[in-house]
Amino acid sequence: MGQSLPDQLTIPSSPQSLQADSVNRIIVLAIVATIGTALESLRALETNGKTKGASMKLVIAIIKPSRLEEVRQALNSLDVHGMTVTEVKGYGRQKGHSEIYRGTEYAVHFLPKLKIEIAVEDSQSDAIATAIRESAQTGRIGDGKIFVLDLLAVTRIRTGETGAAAL
Amino acid sequence: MTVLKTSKILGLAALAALAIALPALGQDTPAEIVPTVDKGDTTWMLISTILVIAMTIPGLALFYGGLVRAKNMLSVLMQVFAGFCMIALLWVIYGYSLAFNGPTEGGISQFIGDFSRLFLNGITPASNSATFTAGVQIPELTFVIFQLTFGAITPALIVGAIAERMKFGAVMLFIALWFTFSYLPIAHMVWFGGGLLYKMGAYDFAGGTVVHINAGVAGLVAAIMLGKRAGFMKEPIPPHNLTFTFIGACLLWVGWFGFNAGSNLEATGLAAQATLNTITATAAAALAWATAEKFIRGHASLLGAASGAVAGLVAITPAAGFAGTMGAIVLGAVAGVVCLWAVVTLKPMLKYDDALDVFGVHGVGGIVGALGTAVVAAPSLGGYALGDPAAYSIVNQLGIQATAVGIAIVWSGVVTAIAMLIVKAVFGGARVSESAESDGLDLSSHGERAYN
Repeated sequence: MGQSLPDQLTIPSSPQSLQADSVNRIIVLAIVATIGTALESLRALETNGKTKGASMKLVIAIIKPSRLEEVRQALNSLDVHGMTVTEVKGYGRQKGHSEIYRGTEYAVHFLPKLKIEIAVEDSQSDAIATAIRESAQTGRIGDGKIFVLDLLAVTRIRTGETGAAAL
Repeated sequence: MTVLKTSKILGLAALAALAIALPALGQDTPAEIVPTVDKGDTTWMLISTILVIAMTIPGLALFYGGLVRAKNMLSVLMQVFAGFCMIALLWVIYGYSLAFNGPTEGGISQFIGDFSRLFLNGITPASNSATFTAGVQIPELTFVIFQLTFGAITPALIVGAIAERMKFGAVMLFIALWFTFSYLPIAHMVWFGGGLLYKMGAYDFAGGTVVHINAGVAGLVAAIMLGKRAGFMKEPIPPHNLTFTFIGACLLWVGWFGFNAGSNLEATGLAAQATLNTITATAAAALAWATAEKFIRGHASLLGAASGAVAGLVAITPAAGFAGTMGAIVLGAVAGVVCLWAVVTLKPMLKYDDALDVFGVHGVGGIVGALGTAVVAAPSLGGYALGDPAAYSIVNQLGIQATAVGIAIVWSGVVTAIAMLIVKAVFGGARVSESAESDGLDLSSHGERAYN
């Protein structure tokens, strides 16, 4: 991670770099977020009776293939005991590259990435997203993205258990 | 490579052995040279033969296989493999007879042999063939199978040009026709004592003209007549496994020692020189290609180095036993750069789809080698031209080499064109259907896939 330090310093998320107006903005965001969370909790209360799994999240992360082992270790220490990994191709800001075979140049638009999918309880999802971010980060372009989605239902095929018990 | 057929030599050889075994009694040696067969030579030729087989299967097959897309992998392996099997049979049925037999004088015998050895008629383990040294012979069967491997690899080379789009049956018929009407006559003309180019004094130590120019030109003409692959120059058609291509290239290199040094027919110092030339020319060509690529394109690629190695092997083939070590290095380096130009610049300029660059590497490399042989064979440049060293003229020899190259180009080109027309007529078009091409030949022609 040493060589990626300069890149990290440009991200205005460390407390030292906060300016007065950003502090204001964060307060506003925090208020909005609080209202949002409250509304969400209300909705969760409302739906809880019908759907057992509304308090679960699906964390999807697109990462560099070389970071998989680090991510697995980080998640293991968070007691995450299962994940699904798929080899995928795509591009974001990184774009592709070109390859030349006997003088013929091919533009390769899609780069190989790994997609990790983890179903977790709501309370764990923030910690897991943070762990993935920290373990998958190289600081260079193409590190990937993390998506967190509401997960409505889970069933363990072997036993028929549903909801959080099936995670 | 005049072939003197001498049966019933075994008895003489046994007598000679007896004479050597009884030195105490031997007081005077016979004045005339008694032809002898050396077990060392025989061993070397059998090993060389096996090395050339390894060049083709699996060497050439893997080299080509890695360069095509995954969906066509098996079709290329199969075309090379089945082609090898078919030629092996055609060779003993009529190939050897037409290439290396017949009268040494007279009109048609300058171009093709006769049917006197049909089904290897009359050739037994006791039959012997001449080598380059008076009085030294090798078993004729050894020569028959050594030459079999040359006849088999040459049509297999053409497979690279027509890869990924031709019907399997059409490939096989084309190979049979082309072998019969182009390979056999040119082998006869260059290597048989009565052949046109042999008599002219053309130098072709191990088959630069017979094998590489012949196959390279055939590949070019066949690729043009067959048409481009769907998506050629429009969508990416990258090699699917360069590791296979690398393994294939290395097997080609190792096998080529049998090809080049085996062509000496004896295990002598000149065989060692040919072996050394086959190392140095190849090494120089691989580095030359990769270095030129670095300057032109920014990267020295493994595929470039491997392609350069093959170009160097092709170029040193006619000169293997004529060039000195330093001459071989220069010839290899020149071939590496010229073949790179042919593949990177010439092909896109003329827009023909020689899929795996058979013409660019074997055709162009073969021409560079055939002409370059005249230069590097010069005794003044450390070469081993035949005859009086003082009388050797590079310009004279260059003229002879160029004539031989021209005849081979025209002959192979015309035969290929006619053979393709016949194949198209027989099969109602030589290409597979558009959907079969898009599915890949592995599935559509062979009903299987390389990777599951």
